[in-house]
Amino acid sequence: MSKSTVRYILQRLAISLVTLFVILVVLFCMVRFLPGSPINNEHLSEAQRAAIEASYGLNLPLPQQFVKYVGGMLTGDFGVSMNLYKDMQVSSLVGTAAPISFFLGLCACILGTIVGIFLGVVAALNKNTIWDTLTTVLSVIGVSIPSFVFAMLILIIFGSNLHILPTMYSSAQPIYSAIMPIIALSMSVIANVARFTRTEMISVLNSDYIMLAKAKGLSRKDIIFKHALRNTLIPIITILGPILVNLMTGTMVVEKVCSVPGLGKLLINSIQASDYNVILACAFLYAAMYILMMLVIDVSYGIIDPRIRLGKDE
Amino acid sequence: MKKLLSVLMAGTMALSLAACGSGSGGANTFTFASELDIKNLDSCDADDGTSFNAMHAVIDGLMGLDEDGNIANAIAEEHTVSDDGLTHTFKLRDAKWSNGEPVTAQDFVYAWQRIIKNVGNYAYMMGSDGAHITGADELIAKTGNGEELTQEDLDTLGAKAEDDKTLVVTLTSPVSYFEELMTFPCYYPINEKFAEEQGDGYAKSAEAILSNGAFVMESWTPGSTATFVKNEDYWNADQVKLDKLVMNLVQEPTVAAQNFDSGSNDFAPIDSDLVDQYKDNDAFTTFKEGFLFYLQPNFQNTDLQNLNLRKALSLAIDREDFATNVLKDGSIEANGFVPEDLSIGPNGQDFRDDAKDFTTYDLEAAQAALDQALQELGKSEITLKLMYGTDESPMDTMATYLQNAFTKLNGLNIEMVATTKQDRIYNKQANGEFDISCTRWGPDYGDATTYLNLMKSDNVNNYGKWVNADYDALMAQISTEANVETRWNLMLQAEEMAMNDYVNIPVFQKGTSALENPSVKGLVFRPVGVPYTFNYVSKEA
Repeated sequence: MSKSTVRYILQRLAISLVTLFVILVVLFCMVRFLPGSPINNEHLSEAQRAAIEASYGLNLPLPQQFVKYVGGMLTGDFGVSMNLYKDMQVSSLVGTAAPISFFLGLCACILGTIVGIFLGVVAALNKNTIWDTLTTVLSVIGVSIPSFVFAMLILIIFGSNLHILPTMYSSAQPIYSAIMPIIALSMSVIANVARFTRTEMISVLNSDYIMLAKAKGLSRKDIIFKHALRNTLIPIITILGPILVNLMTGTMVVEKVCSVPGLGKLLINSIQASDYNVILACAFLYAAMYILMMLVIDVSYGIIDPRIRLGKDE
Repeated sequence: MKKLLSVLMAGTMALSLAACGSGSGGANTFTFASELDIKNLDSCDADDGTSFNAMHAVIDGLMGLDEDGNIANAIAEEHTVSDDGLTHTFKLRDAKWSNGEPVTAQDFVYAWQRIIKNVGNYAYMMGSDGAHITGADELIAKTGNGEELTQEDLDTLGAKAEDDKTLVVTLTSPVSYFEELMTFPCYYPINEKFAEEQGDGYAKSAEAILSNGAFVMESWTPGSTATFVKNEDYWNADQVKLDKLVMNLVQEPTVAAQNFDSGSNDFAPIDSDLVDQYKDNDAFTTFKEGFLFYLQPNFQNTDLQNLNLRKALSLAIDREDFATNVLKDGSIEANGFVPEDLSIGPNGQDFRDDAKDFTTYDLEAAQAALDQALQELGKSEITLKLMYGTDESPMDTMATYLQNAFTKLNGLNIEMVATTKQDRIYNKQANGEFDISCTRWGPDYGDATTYLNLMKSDNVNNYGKWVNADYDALMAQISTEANVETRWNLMLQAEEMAMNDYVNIPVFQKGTSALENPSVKGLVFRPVGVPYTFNYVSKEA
């Protein structure tokens, strides 16, 4: 790795860290300014409520609360839940929920990409045939219908009616019960990847070097797999970033529908309960994942093609 | 393509086979869906129905419920009360914690002191807002001033372990509903050694809670499921028919109903939106909750000080229409300030059966009362602000319905003030910045005073600032009256006095609609304290 590449990576890393800090400040303030409070049992008198708030440090001035929170964060202490899971460590709550969401997201992404590429290639190779039309229709449906609607449909058809899939997630059967949410989540990935692959593949198939390959008398199989597909796949990496980010937001509702105890469900529930520390930790983790993904994409672009490095270069 | 099809078919077949091996459990497993999660199982902290359900599945207090929902001895084998009603002596039965240690009187003393020491949510239930235990109010006042309590301080609490099997509780005034109170989770015992070992983690995971009840908590995944297995060492184990209890947590009503249809839930609470779809189903059932939704007028508002104006408001509400046609979830119209099925009198009758009906719908009479009010106030029209929290469903539905009902009266304008529950209670109501507030109250114990106390002039929840010396005197008399029949009549009088003055305007008593597997029997529901008792549930194969 050249010196300039290392420098580029360090630069991007520094920018990411600054962004994360800004996000943390904004999140912290926004969460504190949310209407409602984690302590809102009407049976508590004002004095009792004040005593409970004081025990969580909510009576301190905001900057002091922030410093305390960041101090704790640096040592891995994300505070305790104030309402949803009273006094439980947020780190353990998020630690249990996050891997489930990551697993679902990753599986949906892999499944979606494989199926999407397959469909895209089939459509491109059979351009203007019934297969092409079918793929286009599927893609439009996949893009326009939200993943939680798919989740509901699968739940009703395969869960309630046919009894093939379990209707809710069970930690005792983490793979089997994850099938439904994974399929639901992968729909939009399939649609996006298929459309993109089709367009790319058609443009590659029309390029001069493919014509040259054909002129050289290479077999159709060689042309497709050795030349066309390879060159089609590289640009697909560029859309995987946004797709993964999209998936993150999609998991929130799908998790709720499929009763998956993941990060999205935890975030929604914590917002409903105004559970400050839980909201902060979940939202921050989402932000961190987003930034990490952007960082990886930026850096990998920079390595693959030094011309598209962002920021100043020597 | 053929290859692809065959792969797909093989996949589907494999899944179908896998499905055969799964399912919600055997005939002796009861699956219960809940919209909320368990907060934790610490009697010092947990303050919601779902946590109470789970706590009661694993822990028995001094008193419990029998299979008909009546108060019965649990860990207490015998209960005696002194003649003056101020000393309660409980003899404990031989019961064991799941670590093999015996349940002792000290376990109760420790648990109760711990709630006060840790400023628990229900600390006030130890004092004059609940059990009236001597010393409790003084200790609570100290913690309110930010003082740390020493063991010496805590020992001033009137709950003493005379020996391992004898608990003596002394009160500042007689509490006729003391046995009922003892079913409430904040009075559950805690094994001191175990709790201290667990430290901050106590009751926050399946491993960190001891059982002396019908079930032992096997696992708990927050946001997903909690499983419980039968406690073979339970003192009343013969009565427990289930082998396993599963709680499916944080399920939206729609999802819970779907899972009920697929057989994954035996019990699923549903909301108003689903009622029409399921109301003819055998599984459809409703329960009356203890929650009363009512309007609190602000007596510092000069218009609202007018009795006829408050009367007009009450008469303009078609409560039955609202409960049966809008809410549809088993809610019923409120006829007074004490809900139905809450308080049982000396002769076994419900408070509402003995009390008068104070609410009627009569638009003409409402208009006449309003006209009278306008005349008395010398005004041609009145504008009132109706405040509600948007985060406390179905308060928003109620507010919209009431706005519509009130504006049918000529000369009355309603402005809606939408806010949050916290802002409503602790800012607007506490500072008197409201005209009429949509509010609610859930009972702390099964006695009418849990509602009637709210209207005492010094009650913190009397945000409307209604002050009536006669009412205060009556309530003071009720709190010291030892004769249950006299006390019962005094409570009826108190409600009548308040309702005739339209201190608060009751609207409806909340209900719950649920889907319950028809083969399930013995699920005990109670509108106060622990909502569901699973000890007697059985499932026909």
